[in-house]
Amino acid sequence: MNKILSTLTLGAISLFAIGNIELAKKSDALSDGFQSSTSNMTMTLINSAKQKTIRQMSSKTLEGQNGDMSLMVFLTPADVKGTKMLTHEHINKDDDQWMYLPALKRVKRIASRNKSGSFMGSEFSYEDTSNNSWEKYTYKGAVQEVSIEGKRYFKGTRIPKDKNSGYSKQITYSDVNTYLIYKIEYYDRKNELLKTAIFKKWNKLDGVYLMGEIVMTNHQNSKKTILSWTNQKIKLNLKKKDFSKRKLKR
Amino acid sequence: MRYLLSILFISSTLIASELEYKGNIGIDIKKYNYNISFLKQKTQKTIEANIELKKTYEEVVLFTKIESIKDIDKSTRKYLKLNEFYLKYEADNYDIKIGRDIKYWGAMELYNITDIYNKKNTQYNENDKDAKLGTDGFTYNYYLQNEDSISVIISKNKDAKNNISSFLKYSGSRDDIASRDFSYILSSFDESFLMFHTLIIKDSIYKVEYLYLNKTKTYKTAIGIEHTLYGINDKKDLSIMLEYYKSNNKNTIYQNNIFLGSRLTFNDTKSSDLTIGLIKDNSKDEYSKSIEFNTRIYDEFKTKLSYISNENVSIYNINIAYHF
Repeated sequence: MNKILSTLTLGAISLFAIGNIELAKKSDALSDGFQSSTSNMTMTLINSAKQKTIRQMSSKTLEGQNGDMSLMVFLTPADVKGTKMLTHEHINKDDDQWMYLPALKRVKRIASRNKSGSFMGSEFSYEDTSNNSWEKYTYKGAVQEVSIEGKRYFKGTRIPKDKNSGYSKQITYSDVNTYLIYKIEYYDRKNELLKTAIFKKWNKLDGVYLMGEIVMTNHQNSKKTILSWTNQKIKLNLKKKDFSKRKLKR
Repeated sequence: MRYLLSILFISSTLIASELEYKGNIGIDIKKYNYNISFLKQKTQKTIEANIELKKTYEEVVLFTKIESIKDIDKSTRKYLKLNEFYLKYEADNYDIKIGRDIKYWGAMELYNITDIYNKKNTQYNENDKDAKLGTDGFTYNYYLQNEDSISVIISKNKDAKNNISSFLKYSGSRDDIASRDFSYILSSFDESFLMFHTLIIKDSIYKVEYLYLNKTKTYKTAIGIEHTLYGINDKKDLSIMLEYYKSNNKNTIYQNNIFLGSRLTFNDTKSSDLTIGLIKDNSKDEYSKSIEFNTRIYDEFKTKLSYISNENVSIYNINIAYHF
């Protein structure tokens, strides 16, 4: 009996003793392995008076061990149609980023050290739109199991390693059964709650989980941005050369 | 009216096809206040329309851009111009472009002394460095393993010997000591050598442009820095630009000038920005000032308000265009 009890107790401890890093790795692994992807993106910006502005983009990404490469093309509004942004992410140093301005035929280097700048006037920062590999954070405290609207989530705290991050910490909520991220609370440099992102419409494609929609609410200015993906395709055999500066001018 | 009808006809035709298209139609109003007694004040009202068409067949791209303007009041300027029209073939490690195109060479904000491939479209706007005329030519770009490129360009140039200019260009990017882009160009036209670099250190972009004309033994050079402060007053970004221009050719523009500029990017849904610039001509001890505000109305209408002033003239400008 004692043996059974001790086995049950150990089982319960190991269930609740999931570490922050282990949880982050498990969540990350669900979205890894897409190799390359293409998708259409719609961004709905909602101001404090609930007025909506819609922006559309197309994007393609190449998965990399030392950071992803991505090429984003702006489709609306009409005056910026054809503007492209090429990003080469790096885990341990600043990303490389170039912008192509079609009206001028100009490829312009962007100083991308600061990650907290607004992405296209939205409530997303460049930091939010880049790959959030578990290696980019340190982790604090133990994972707690919490209940939100009758559902159980693992709650963990992570701190960006990047000194130029706009955040002092992020609190993550992951589904206890699937480890999929449900919510992230972002705290600003003054350690005040700045934004909350709710991750919705996860799609499983060829064994890889892809986000379908993120609703980002800024608590300090009462604005909201909804970013949604359609026509997602993965494992497309895209190559590194598809993400070179040369492709910006096409 | 003929110009507008042409643009409208082209627009309606392409909607029925599978062409990618982009264009705008708008009005530009400029008021000139001269400080020189024999020049009268004048107001220039112009209708402008542009359309770009692009068709892609796997590795082949066909591109054309038509530009037109017409002054409303005194009809001093009017044209309908095929400013770009080229065919581009893209292979694995090279591409070829044949036809009329526009290239951008340079790194500075105020003026690009190395941007010599196209002539400026002074008929459109002599103060707009980005208003350029398409140049007929042939471009071959070869890409190395590290994505550096070697380009051979042959173009039509009425001012050159045999009406032909040739260019040999080497460009690349590095990410070793710091992130940087560079280009070196040799040209048969005036036996010139050109180079332009950008280098990023932290939140600052360092820039240099250099042009040497062996035929006339003259040089032009510019150095600059652009530093950006992010998240000013909520989401706004503020860029400060400082550039210095120097040449031993006394007849050239920006022979010994300093430019100090700032751009406030609002990061709002209207993509608003405000740019203020001050240019000092050290040779004459004269100043030029400029202020420009860009914003968008109802997503489709792009609006520009600007003011430029120097010793001789002040120009007030309003431009509003519908984009599709």
